Order: sequence, then structure tokens, then C-alpha cells
Amino acid sequence: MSADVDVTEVDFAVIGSGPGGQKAAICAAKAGKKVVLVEREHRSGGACVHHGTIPSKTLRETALALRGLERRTGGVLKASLGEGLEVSSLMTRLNDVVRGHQKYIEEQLRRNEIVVWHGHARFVTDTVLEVAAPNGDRRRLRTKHTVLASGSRPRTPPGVEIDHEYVLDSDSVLSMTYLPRTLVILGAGVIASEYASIFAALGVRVTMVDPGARPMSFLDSELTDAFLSSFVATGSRFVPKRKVLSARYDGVAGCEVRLDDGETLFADKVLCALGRIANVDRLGLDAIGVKTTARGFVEADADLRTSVPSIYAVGDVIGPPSLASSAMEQGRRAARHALGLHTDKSAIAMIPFCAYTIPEIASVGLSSAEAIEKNGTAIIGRAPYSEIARVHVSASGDGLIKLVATPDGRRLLGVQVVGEGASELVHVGQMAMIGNCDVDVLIEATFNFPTLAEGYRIAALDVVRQRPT
Amino acid sequence: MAAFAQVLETRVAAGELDIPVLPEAAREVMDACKREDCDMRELAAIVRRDPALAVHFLRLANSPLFGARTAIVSLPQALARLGVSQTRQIALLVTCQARAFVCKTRKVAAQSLRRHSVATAMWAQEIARLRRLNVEEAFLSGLLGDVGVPALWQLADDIENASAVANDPATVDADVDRLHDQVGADIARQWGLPARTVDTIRNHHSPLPEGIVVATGTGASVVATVVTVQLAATLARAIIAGEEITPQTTQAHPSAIALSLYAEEIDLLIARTPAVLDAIRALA
Repeated sequence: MSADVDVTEVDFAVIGSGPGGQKAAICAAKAGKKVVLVEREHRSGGACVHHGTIPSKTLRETALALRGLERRTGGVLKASLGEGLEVSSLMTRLNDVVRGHQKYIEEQLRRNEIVVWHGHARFVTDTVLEVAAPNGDRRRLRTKHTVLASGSRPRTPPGVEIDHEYVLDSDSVLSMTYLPRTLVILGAGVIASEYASIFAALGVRVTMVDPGARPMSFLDSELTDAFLSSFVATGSRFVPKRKVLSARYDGVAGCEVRLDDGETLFADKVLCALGRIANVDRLGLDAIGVKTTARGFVEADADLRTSVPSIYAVGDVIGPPSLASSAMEQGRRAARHALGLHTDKSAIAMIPFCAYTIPEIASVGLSSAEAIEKNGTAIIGRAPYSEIARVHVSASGDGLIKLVATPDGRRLLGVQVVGEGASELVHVGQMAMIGNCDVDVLIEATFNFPTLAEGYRIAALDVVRQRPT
Repeated sequence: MAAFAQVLETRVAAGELDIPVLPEAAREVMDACKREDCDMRELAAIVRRDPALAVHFLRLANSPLFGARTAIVSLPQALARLGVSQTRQIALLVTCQARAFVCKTRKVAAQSLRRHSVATAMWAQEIARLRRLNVEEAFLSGLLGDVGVPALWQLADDIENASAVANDPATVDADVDRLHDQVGADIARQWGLPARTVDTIRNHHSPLPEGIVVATGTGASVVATVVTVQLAATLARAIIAGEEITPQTTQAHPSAIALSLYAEEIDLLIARTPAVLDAIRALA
């Protein structure tokens, strides 16, 4: 070991301060371990706080408020966006939101006596990390366990010339000065669909292009159909089954996107959201034998252990589902496993999914297709939003609560929701599933009136109606 | 000489400055570029009314910077090549060169300031790209950081002429240095530039307060742009002086540290040197 580099002995090292890294560090610290968390940026929080989840959801709230104002006031109040509107003016609360979130994270780390080192970490051996600060200063950590939570960054496919000014990626899209008039979005995954619906709600004419047949194709088609119908109603367009050959600023008046069927799309700006790649560069993983997948993600087993037993990996760096919620749970489980503490593995199957599209989409457990594949059949109970009183009061728009039940219609296997409040509503079903409740509980329970949650009773009644006699 | 500084400060505070007026055509171009229904014919009609502006657009459209392969001889052609966004930036750039960065008594210094401003703007947008900051905001803030300097030179000349006592050049330089960020911010505000750009110009020489960290990313505070412009200005001075920009000196720069620019990002930045030089040649 180099004699001129200081070495600090710790029990636990965490690389990356996003949701997964934070929870791993806090879990280890609460178990009485000495923890150092290494972060490349000055501030904690990772891409979730600085580029992704928090900023895009803040913009989304503005879009929802603008869109909902006229509808909810029955046309008494109207909101229109002025010419040359600055994007930053739609996110004036963002600094407060980010600052508030960061303050909470940093307070949590401080309270748990977690030391944060600012720099880039590299494995020297499986138990020694070298951390280089931006000014080049180096120091080392000797650790018993390491949790790798270094996150991911947007992938740039060949032919797409990202300049972060005209052709942007999901890390730079919200740095635009003005709202574009037209926007082409490459991809139709969660990030692409979220931005597509947010910008469409703000009056931007959006064209979403994807090789797949529909957006977010891993989801129940009933949910994505509802999303697509709402998206197209804004005047935007979804171009399915097309590959992008090139996307670039044309040096003239905007961007051009060439598709494999010969069509060329023109727009003020392009957002490339064709997947993310793991941040594993210069971590020295090869040298210590940490294996990665063909797509470059770190391989991790069910306990989040990599091919090197003392090193765990959580969050985006191990690939999908790439959700902040799953990263947090993974971080907690990795730390508990490393410390030999018990973990309830059944809880991991209950991690809900949510896409903050407009309308929102959320799910937990099995989809109808998965349930049918598993059990041969399933009972599906539906509650269209049009049957829920609160929807009419709030002018919430279209939506659906969908319950997937066992063939006898007694137990819930999954819940899917599309529409306003989906991200919150799904937790009612999640709790029923964790508690292994009979579907009848959702009928017998008293819900506040009028609420969206009442839809559970409507959907449960639909399940009961279909029970085999 | 203290009296000179006092007069200068009083007149700056009172707004008694000959602030360069944004030419009507440039203002109309910038306003039109913001509008959803803006088209090239309308832009061409506006630019045509200001021959100096029109000539600049034609010259730039024909420069290698914008990839001209064949000679562009008409204004609509030139504007079509430059595009709406570039047109807006160039309207401002041309205005700066023709109206803001000029001083009858300091022609050489004004020329040098123009080159420095363009170089700073180019470096600032490269740094912004690396750190996912707003590229246009960085460009404008870099370009206009020193826009207050010529206005203060002019004011110093006016004071000297009125008092018939020669200014002490060292005192003038010190006072211009001290006041130009405030004056620059006033000019940018009067030109209707975004509030964040005005704030960046006002603070572009402010040292990073102890304990303040720079958060980059979406919605980053103007501190990130301020630090970006500070690093860009250092790189601009080096490139204009013909000095080699090395990874070591760049990495050690306080602004590079504040922006969390690591060695590999510094390498990417330095690799942009030829492109920045091309831009300086074309624009300044």
C-alpha cells in the first residue's frame, strides 16, 4: 500500500449517496458500525435529487396545476402560458424542494454519524478503496464491507448527437431556457413517457418514437392504453415500431430525427431517453473480479451480493427496476445481509411500481397476464373512475382501478391503477396483499366519502360478482 | 483621486451611465425569437432594417463555424442557416461587439475585451455541457460578464473631461474592476435578459463563500453558473495569451473543484480547445 496516502479503517463503505446508498449507510450505522459514504458530487442525493425524480416531479406538479385549473373551476379560471416562457419559471419551487430534501438527507446522515467523503472511489483491493477528490488529493479506506450504489446515467445510442443544447438527454432536458414548441422524444420507457406527458400537458407538441408497439410495454396494456389515449388527446403523437437512425441539430432551425422507414421528424428540441447505463467507470471492478452483465450492469444475487462476497450492489447500478423505492429497499437489505441481520425476503415482491406520467400509473404484485400464466386463470375486478363520486367532484378525468385476484376470487394477487392519485391509491391494495386479506375486506371496510379509495370497493364487488359458484 | 472614485460611484449608483442601448432591430430579433409563431421571413425583415446587423449575420453565416459549404448571399438564406436560437444569440453578440464593447479612447483594450468575452462565452458553454447546466445561460453570462467595463470607461472619460483633471489610470482600472459587475448587471437587466443571467453577471467576480457548496444539475442555483463563468474566464485568458491549458492547472482551479470536475472531465474540456479557437476566430 502506498505509504504517502492516509488510510482510514471503517466497518462499512458506501459508494454513492442516492436512495440506495443512503439507506445502506443508515442501516449499517444504526447497527453501530463505523460508516463512510463516498459521493462524487458536493451534495448528497444522487441523480434522484439533482437530475431525475425530484426535478421532473416538481415540473409535473406545475403542469398538473395548469391543466387542472380550468377543469376544476369549471372554466371560471383559465391559465395560459405566455410566449417565451422560461422553463425555470415553471420550477421556481425546485430550489426549495431540492434544498428541503437535501437538508433532510444530510441531517439523517449527520444524526447517524455517517462520514461523507467527497470524491471518486476506486477499488484497490476488495477491502481497500482509494478516494480521489476533484483537486486530485487521495486518501484510502480499509473496509469490511462495501455497498456499491453508484447509480446510472443516460445512454447515448449511436447516431444520436447529444449536445445538451438542442439534443438533450434526461440529465439535461430540464436545463432548457425556454419551453420548445415541438419536442421529439426518443424512447417510450418510464422516463420518456413521464417527460412526454409533462411537456404535452404544458402545450408542447410532442412526438414519441420507439421500436416497441406501445409505451412502457412491460405494463398491463389496459394501463398503457389509457396513458396513450390521454397523451394523443393533447395533440401529441406516438410513433411505434420505428428505430431512430440519427438525431442531430441541423445547424439551421432545429433538430432532425431520421427514422428507419425513411420518415424525418423535425422539432425544436430532441430528448433522448433510450435507456441508462451503469456508473461503473474507473471503479476498478475488473481488477478485483466484480462481474458485470452483458449490458454493463453489476451482477448481484438475491441478497444483492456481487461476485466478490464483501461487495454488494444496489439501485440503478444493477439495472431494472431502477426505482428509487426499490433502491432504498435494496440498500437496506444489502446492509442487513452484510451484517448478518434477518431480512424478510417476501417484502421485496411487494415493492410497488409507479410512473409519474399524466395520468399516473401504479401497480403492485402480479399483472393479469402474470396471474393467468401462474394460475391458469384469474378474476379481474375493475372500477372505472367514472363510477367514483370523488372523480366527478374533483374533475379528475379518466382512470381505472384493477384488482387481480386468485381463480376463486378470494385473495388479491395484484393491483393496477391508472389515473389521478394512482401512486397513493396502490398502497391500499399493497397493504391488503401484505396482510393476506380476503377480497371481502375491501367491501366490508368503510372508506371516507367521497374518496378515490372507494374505487377499491367497486372493484372488489366486481371480483365477487365473478366468483365461481 | 479619492474624489474621482466617489464621483464614479455616486454616478453609477444614480444610474447616470451611458448604458449602451440595445438597437431596436436586435431587441425585435430577440423578442421575435421567443415567440411561438416566429418565422425566418419575419426575422429577415427585422434584420434588413439594420444594415450593420445584416452584414454581421451574412458574415457569420458564411464562416466555417456554421459549416458554410457554399456562399450565402441573401439574408433569408443566412438566417435559415443560423436558425432561430443562433439568431437570437448572434443578435446579442453583434450588439455587444458593435455597441457595448467599444470605447473611443481605449480601442485596443476594447478589442481585447471583445475577444476575452467571446472566449469566456465559448468556454462557459463547454463547461455547462459537461455539468449539464443551461448552455445558453452559461454562454450569455460569459459573454456579458464584462459588459459593464466599457460603460465605466466612458463614464471615467466623461468625468475627466468635465473636471479638466487627468484621471489616474491605475485608480480608474481599480474602480472599473470594482464596479463593472454591478453596471454589467444593470445593462443586462435593461436589455431584458433573464433574471438568472443578470444575477450571474452581478456575482461573476464574487468569491465562493466559505462553506458554500456548488450543486449542479437541474435547477442549479446561479452559483453554479457564476463558478462556471469564473473558470471559463481563466481558460479564456490562457487561450488568448497562447498559453497551454494543462490538466494540472485546470484541475487545481478553485472553480473546477467547486464544480466537481474530475480529471477525465478536465481532459474532455481541454479537448474542446480547437473548437473554442475556431469560434473566437469567427465571432471576435
